[in-house]
Amino acid sequence: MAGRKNRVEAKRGWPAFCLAALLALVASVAHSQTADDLYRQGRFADAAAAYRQQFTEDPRSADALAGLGRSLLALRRPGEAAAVLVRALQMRPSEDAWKQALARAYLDAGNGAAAQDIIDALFAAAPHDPEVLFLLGESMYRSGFYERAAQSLQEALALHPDRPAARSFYAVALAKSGHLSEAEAACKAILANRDAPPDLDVLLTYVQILDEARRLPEARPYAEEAVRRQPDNPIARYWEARLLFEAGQLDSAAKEAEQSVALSPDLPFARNLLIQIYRTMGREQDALRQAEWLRDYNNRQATRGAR
Amino acid sequence: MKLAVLFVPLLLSAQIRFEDVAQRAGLNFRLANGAAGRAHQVELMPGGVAALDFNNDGCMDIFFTNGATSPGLDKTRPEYHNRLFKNNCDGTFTDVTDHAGLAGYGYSMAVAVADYDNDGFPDIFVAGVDHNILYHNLRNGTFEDVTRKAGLEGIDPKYGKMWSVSAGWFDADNDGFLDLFVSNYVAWDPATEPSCGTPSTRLYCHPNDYPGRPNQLFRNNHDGTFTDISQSSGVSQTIGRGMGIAFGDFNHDGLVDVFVANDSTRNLLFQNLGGGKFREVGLEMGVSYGESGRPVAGMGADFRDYDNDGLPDILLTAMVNDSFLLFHNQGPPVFFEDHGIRAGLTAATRQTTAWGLGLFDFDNDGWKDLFTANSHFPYLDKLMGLPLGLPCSIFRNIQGRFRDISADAGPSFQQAAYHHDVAFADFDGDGRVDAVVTVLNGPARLFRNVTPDAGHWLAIKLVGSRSNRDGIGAELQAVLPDGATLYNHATTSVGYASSSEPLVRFGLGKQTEIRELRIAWPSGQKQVLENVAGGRILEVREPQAPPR
Repeated sequence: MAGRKNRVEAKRGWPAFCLAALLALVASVAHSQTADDLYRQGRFADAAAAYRQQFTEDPRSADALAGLGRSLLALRRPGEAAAVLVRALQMRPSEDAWKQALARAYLDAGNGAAAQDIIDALFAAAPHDPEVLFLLGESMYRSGFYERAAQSLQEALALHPDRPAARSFYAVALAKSGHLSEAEAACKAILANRDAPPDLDVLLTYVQILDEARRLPEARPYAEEAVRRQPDNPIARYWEARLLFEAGQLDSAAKEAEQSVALSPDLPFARNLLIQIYRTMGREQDALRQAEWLRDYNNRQATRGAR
Repeated sequence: MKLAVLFVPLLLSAQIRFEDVAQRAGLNFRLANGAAGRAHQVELMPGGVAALDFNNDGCMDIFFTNGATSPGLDKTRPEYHNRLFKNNCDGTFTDVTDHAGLAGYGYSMAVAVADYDNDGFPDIFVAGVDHNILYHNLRNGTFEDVTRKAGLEGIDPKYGKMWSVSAGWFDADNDGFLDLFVSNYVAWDPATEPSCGTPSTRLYCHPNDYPGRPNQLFRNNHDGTFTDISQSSGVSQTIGRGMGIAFGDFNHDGLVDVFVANDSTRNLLFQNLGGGKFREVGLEMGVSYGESGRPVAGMGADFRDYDNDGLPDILLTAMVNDSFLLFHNQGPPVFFEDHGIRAGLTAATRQTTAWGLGLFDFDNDGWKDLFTANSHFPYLDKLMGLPLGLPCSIFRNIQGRFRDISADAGPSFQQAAYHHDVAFADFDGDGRVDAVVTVLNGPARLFRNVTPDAGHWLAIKLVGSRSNRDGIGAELQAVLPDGATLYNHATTSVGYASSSEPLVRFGLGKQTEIRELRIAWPSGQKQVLENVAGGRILEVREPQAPPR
């Protein structure tokens, strides 16, 4: 008797349940549309809030989590993005686009090893996918494996040339792997585009290329431009100092190098340049002080790096 | 001194070429590091090789060091024996290890050859993990292990057994007998060795995971024994992770100084103060760091004048992304400045990991070229997906700038391998410097120099009387008929863990003779020879008494 009553109650409740589910689904879709629209419009903070709301209402929505992850990534919060994307992938492990986003999040968060594991798997499955090649190139670049980075980025850019960030990485990777003439051409192509100001790394890489080719007068205007654009950038100051030093303008070189060191005390190459400048000026005691600082700094770094 | 550069023209434009003749010459040696997948640090480092004329027949022989089981350090199996190959003077070699008694024991790393007892026959010092060996040449084709008698076991009173990776002979006190400098790497004990990578994929750890060790200096007592003066000399006051050793008198004070390349630690320059005292001056003389201001994974070193300005410079190899460092000697007061960029080496070597090297004039044009033995560290293949093996490199010196001409150096030169160490000598007596290169877990390579149209040459075999018998440390100037002046000095300590021929060579280009050959012996004696014909090995004996 009691069983029949329960079945009757259940029968009576079924339409209400269906209606509620339908409403939730509609609301979720509506949220999703709103969140996706916001994301597409580049309103990432609003998109993140919308995806978060969507997930609160439907905790089974892997799409909402992934959207939140991508929004956080766009907001330059890669650590949080990675945590969210991991959860999304646990719910739906086959989404390659989310894996790419997670790899990107790990890269941006400085967790190269975790990124590389994902990128390796993506590369094994799709070795000619330009997105994967971009990720691989950037990962190799950040790990200091510039030759491999340049190879991957070259292949990716052949498929998708319109990727300014990748073009910058490619130019710098070429320079760092010693392919100076190719690097010079790549930098020139970027610098020739006056529609968008070039990446400062590219500008300074171009200075470095000209310096290594001993074309010092050509390098000076680019170093000066870098300082003009970012006066507080210690590396721009370093290159300015270095070129002044090479030109024999010791007082100005010392000032620039001192500025570089003041802006970022932990730049060993700037310290080293300062030592050279002081020595050439005959300021032996100042040079020795800097040399001892450098020695102590490197010793500290070595100790920190050791187990 | 600087003006000399202006007078040294580009004498020739020969393309330097090498041909690997190891197999044809019967030079069948495989360097075995004993690795069994557990990534013990010692497995990374072996492979020293020496060029020496052990039987004084005028043909340069080859001695290879070898590894052992890892981490057991057991050398009993023949594949781990050190090997001596006798040059048959006909382009072939014969393995005479067993007769010579040189198979060795323990895990060997490096070799340093010189005549420490001035008896006219070269002796062999083998540096290794926990054990060093001194072999005295008995002048009959055999050697005697005199390590214990000589007091060269190398056990440090404070640190105990050492892992020695390089060694070199020089006359620290100019007393006519060669002293021994030993570079030590890190503290290593398989029982407490750190573990890196994952349990399934073991990787070699970073050197900074191991405590560094000081270097050692042993004074020759003139009676076949040595005294450890590491402490009293000041040499052991600086801790490093020692690799290649190179000798040169950077300040021309008549006392030979010592450069030690260090792995991931600043480089060291021990200035010889005389009286058995040294002071480490790397920082103040500008050789601790290159342009980057950070330590590199320093490997091998050579300490020679590459730009013919009369001042010895320092070149060291390093690891990928480091670039090789070229410290140009500017003279007083600063002395050294990194000229890697100016000389064209920085960009050209940025993606290279090199071990052994040597600055020799391979085309005899009057400018010392650079040969490097290349290969990446084992873990890099896991990280980079790139092959570890690399071809060797040859950089031609064009009036003080280096150009990588490896791609045109011959087909066999292009073959990649896990090249480690290299020793240099003219093995076939044709006046062109050859190179013997060890390959980790692979067959050694003998690169015969087949450069067409190489220039004229002169090799000087020094015989000291008041100075040490080999004349190690002597400085030579060759003034050519056109006024150009070339500089070199006598040393066998070249590159990483290896030992090259003791002859002092000059490439003469189109000149067939040297107008004036000036020799500054370690004893302080000066000697001048005039109108010296090239195309030969010239034996020069040090006068018994100083000439008036």
